[in-house]
Amino acid sequence: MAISKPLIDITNVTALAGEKEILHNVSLALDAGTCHVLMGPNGAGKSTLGHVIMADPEYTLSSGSIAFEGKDITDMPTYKRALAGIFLSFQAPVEVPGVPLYSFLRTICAARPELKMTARQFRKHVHELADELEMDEAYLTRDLGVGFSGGEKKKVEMLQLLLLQPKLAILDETDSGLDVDALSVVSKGIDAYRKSCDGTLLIITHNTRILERVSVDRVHVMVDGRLVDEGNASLISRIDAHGFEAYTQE
Amino acid sequence: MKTDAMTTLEHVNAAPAQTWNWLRINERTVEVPAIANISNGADLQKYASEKIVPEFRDLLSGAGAQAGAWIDLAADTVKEVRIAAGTSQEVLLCLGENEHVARVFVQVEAGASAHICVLCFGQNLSAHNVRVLVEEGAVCHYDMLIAKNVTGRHLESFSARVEKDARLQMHQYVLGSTLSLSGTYVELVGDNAQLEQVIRYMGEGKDELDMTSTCIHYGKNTKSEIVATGVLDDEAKKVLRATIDLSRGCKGAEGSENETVVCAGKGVINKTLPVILCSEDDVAGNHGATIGSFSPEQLFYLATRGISPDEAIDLLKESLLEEAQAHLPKEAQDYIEKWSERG
Repeated sequence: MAISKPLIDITNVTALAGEKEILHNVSLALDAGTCHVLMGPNGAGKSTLGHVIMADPEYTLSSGSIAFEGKDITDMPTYKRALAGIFLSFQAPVEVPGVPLYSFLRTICAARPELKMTARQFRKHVHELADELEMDEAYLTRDLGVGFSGGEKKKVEMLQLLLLQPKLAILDETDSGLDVDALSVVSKGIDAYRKSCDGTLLIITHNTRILERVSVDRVHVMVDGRLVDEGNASLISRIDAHGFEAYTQE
Repeated sequence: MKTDAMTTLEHVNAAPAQTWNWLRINERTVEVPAIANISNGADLQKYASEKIVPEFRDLLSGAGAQAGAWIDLAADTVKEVRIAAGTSQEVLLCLGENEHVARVFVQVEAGASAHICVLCFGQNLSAHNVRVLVEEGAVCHYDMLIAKNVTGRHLESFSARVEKDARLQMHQYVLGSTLSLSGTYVELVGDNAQLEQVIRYMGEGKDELDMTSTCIHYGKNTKSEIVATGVLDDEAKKVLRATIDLSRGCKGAEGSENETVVCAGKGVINKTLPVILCSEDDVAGNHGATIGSFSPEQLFYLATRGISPDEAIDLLKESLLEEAQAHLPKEAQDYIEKWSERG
């Protein structure tokens, strides 16, 4: 029986920000179609891992490798990783004055031949997604992120997730700073993503509320740049009850 | 009436409050075909006054007195439009093909609505001088587009007086032209009068863009917002002078001006002169400018969506074109489409 390769295979990755080592010998493999949660206290290196997977130039890999769909992408630039099907939702999305959201969405869609659609189909699809995310359509004509509230910025991230349907979506604390209603909308967005394309998720969070509507396959715990525990979804409730003390005292 | 001789127009696009001359930002000159029997720019004003509709005579020209007078005299197209109270009307002007220089007067009567759209496609010199009176409670939209790939020069002059509870919305897209000069002057004379001005520009190759925007607040609780966004590539040069003058008596007025420019080319020269003048106590004036290129954070964000650093600048340019196209009224969009098809 052939053993299928994981969608992404992170092997012994050690990463630095400047001269400071943030991730220490991290290995993590995610199978296609599965949902993983990465938890850990503040400053554990969770977001760094997400950014390293996406080749953020802020970080350098001193050792280790990353393979995506069986292909070594360790030296691949960020934009090629994105086009290959990896998506990173930002904790604090940037503002890009001069680029209206609608133009931006059209451009990132046009860069992916697999998402080819007519202008009319695109318009209809984007408006449907905006409706689904309870997003004010007036935002589509405004410059990307400029003057958006924290909640609206996160909805724009969800809109892109649903539009691009990446093979792997890394959601970096998408729940941070959201009120209960916005959190519900984002949860619905995650649900819709999984249903629409059976995508793979790596949810980085330290808030269990966003996970209430998501069916989680594996939970990973990171402390001080190291993966220190792994388990099934029951680990979430354990951490919810006891926090990370057990790991930080080790 | 025109000859092959040239004349020099002075004090074009002059800033109301000037700075050091050595900065070469205060104002500029421009060479234009001379008009017969008028030997210098200063004399133009004398002869041009008879071309001005009486109601508009005390309204300054946006690009300056000499530039306005030259356009008034050289005009091959004249439009005098009065939009009756409570009605609405579109005014479309296409310059650069059959018509090249236009003198336009639009009176938007109380409660009326106007949509003025000027499209410039000229491969030589084209110009327009638009003057607008926006009466009580009226709304006026003014759109101006200098199309991409235009190889000529264009001189824009726009001025308006906005009365009580009236609103002026301006969208100017300067996307082409080897030399584009754009001067606007707006007086908010009535209480609660408003100006919203959006300037989008793009300079490539050796394009030269020179823009002046002046808004004077006279009425109480008047509001103005000037937002300029642009991208400069290659060896393009740009000057923007934006002035908000909160004059005595405009209690409660608010004015803001903001510019964001991305300088992509190594040979770009970008100059900005943001000025807030204030002669009244109870007012608010803000200005800000962000000048530079994409930040590493912005480039990384765009890259995570599949846009390479080289494509990021193209995204800005494409966005400008798309926005301009989408914003213009249908008739103007159709005209642009036909123009593009003709190549």
